[in-house]
Amino acid sequence: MSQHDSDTLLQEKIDVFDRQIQPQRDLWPGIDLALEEQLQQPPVARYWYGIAASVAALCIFTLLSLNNIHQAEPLGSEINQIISLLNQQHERQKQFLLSSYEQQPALTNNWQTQLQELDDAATTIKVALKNDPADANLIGMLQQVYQQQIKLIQSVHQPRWM
Amino acid sequence: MQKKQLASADEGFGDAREAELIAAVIEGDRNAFHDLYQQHCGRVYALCLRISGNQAMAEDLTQEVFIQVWRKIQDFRAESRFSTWLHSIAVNTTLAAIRKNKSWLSRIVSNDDNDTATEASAEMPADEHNLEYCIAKLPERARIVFVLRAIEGYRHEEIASKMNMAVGTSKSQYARARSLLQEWVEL
Repeated sequence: MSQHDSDTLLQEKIDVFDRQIQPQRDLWPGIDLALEEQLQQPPVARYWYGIAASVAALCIFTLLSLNNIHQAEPLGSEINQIISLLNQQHERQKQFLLSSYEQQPALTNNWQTQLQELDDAATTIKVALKNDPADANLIGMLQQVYQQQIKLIQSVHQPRWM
Repeated sequence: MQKKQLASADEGFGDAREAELIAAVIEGDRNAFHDLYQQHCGRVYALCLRISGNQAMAEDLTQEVFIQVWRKIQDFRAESRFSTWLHSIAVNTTLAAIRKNKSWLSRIVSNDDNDTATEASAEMPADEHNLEYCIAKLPERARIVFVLRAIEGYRHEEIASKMNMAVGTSKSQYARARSLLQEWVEL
């Protein structure tokens, strides 16, 4: 077959090509659910993320300020207060989400194991912080672990769409 | 001639009906939105599937596209066709998802040769002469360029801009796709 012929054959196939494919499952219920949630539920996640972000920003700002003011002084008690605040905030957020999703089935079976692993990681970081309270990286790591826990709880209970 | 006039009248009626639906959706009418979804779902899904090359991803993306449409419908300007606006959201959403997946994957796996055919061909009917199957077998960039150019009618300049590549690259990927398809389709 010549180049021209094969080009024509391909063009003919493209011209009659079906522009539509129907999805194998009905996607509307998932869309409808998402719209319903948008309309009815308060944006819980956004609200809590907002609070968490504010607390995180406050912690970092405070930490940096303390570092600047008391360069040579030990920061143990102030840092402990910040960490304690972070822990309390996270625990409240976690418990709130767990109770909100109590009636909803989780998507995976091992999410609690994953949650526990993250808890272990947080504990390790807290131990390290006791030894080196001025290490801002450790506080950042702790925040990250807490955020991962929140994301995990949300994602296993609230798939993007059905 | 009469047939053409009828088709044109039918199209005009369709446009008027669609305009009514859009106006109702802007007012928050979910039933109207469902009708709009039913009219366009097949086209949007096909677009997401052909670009992403992944059925599950295409299903998620189709849902995401319509959720975005619900949120953004106030921004729709009636000067352009609704389908053009909708397909543009579908293309942008799908390309963004591919980019996101790729950047996530590249953090996990170091793979220099990302331009390979996806698993899409495995999800298509295994008819080697079937154009759908052959398109799914194309390497990713060639497939996306081919779908946007040959099926969606985008210009190479638009494709280059959306895919963040040079116009010449878009043209060469398109030529590559056509050449491979000619080879596969005629066998």
